[in-house]
Amino acid sequence: MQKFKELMNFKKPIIEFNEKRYIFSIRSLILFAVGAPISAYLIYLFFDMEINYWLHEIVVKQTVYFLNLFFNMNAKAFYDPGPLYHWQFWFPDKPLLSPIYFETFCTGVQAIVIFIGVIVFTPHSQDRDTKRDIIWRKTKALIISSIIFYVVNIIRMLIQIDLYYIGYPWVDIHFSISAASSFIAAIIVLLMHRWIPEFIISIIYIGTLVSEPIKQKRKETVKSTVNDSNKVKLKTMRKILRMDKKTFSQDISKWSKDFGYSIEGVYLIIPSNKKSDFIEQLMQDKPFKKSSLEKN
Amino acid sequence: MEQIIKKKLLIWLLLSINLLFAFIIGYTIPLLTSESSNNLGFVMIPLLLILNYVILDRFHYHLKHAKDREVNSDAEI
Repeated sequence: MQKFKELMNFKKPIIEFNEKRYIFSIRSLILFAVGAPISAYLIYLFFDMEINYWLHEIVVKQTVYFLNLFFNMNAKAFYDPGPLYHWQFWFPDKPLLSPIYFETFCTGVQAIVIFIGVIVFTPHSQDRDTKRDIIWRKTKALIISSIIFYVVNIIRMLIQIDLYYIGYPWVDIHFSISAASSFIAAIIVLLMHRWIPEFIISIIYIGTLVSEPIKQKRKETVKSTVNDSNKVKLKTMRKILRMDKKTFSQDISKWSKDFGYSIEGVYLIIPSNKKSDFIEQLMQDKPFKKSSLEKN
Repeated sequence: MEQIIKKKLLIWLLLSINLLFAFIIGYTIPLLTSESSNNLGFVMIPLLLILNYVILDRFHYHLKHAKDREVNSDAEI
């Protein structure tokens, strides 16, 4: 625990996006990671209980209404409470077609509850201005994503049942169209980013929090190596400068000249008179920035 | 002033939609044939209350901002 506290002993990162500042507490991030999936599962279990089969009835009856409106197939919603299914789609005009049984998964509530879990547990920024209207933005995201999922689910069933009615085998159309309709989740994530950017930013923030102690440790190692031997491996410098391999190999010789260092094989050599300056630059939040070079 | 009227209208509209939502819940329950039809109300009415809270919270947010703007314009004068 002590070691963990030592590792986390650094300045909290601040992410700026659209002129707003995002800082999250560790507690809210843990709550997000744990609370979102658990709450989504619990809400799903709640809707899967027999006491909530009114939802089945509403979805079945609305689908039947639109089936008859658009395709004129005289479909009926049939109530037959059994151990597994209570509602089914029935086609009196085609007695050879077996009825389609309806279960909780067909209501699309599983997609809605995932987003409820995510939206409710998305952490709020600790910046006062950023979190000011968060309840309003979260509610908007919740309502709009739920409506889109509900409508898309009804459209999915209309397409599937119509194809079934005209003769396609149910096994061929059921899973393929259901899987294809899940593309809507990607659209919802994009829409969510518009209202609650905290969702994606908090994921980036978790990444930053995890990588920050590693970066700090790397800097400390470089500092002691430079103190001992005046040189540091180029590979380590690339990681500190956060450069990709290609850019690094192109720019490193110019960069080292600008700062007054030299390269020997796989090492960056720091002259003795530049050692303290190198360490100072290294320990900054954004090490070796060009502006600091101009100052010197 | 025009902004405030727009915001007032928006709050009024949201509250009306919420009332309509309450009406639809009440209207739907007797039309359902499931044994669990009454539970629609038990699930939806708490949602309705939460929505009402959110709309009031928004109203409070607009009021607070209008006040802040007034204070700022007074200070500029």
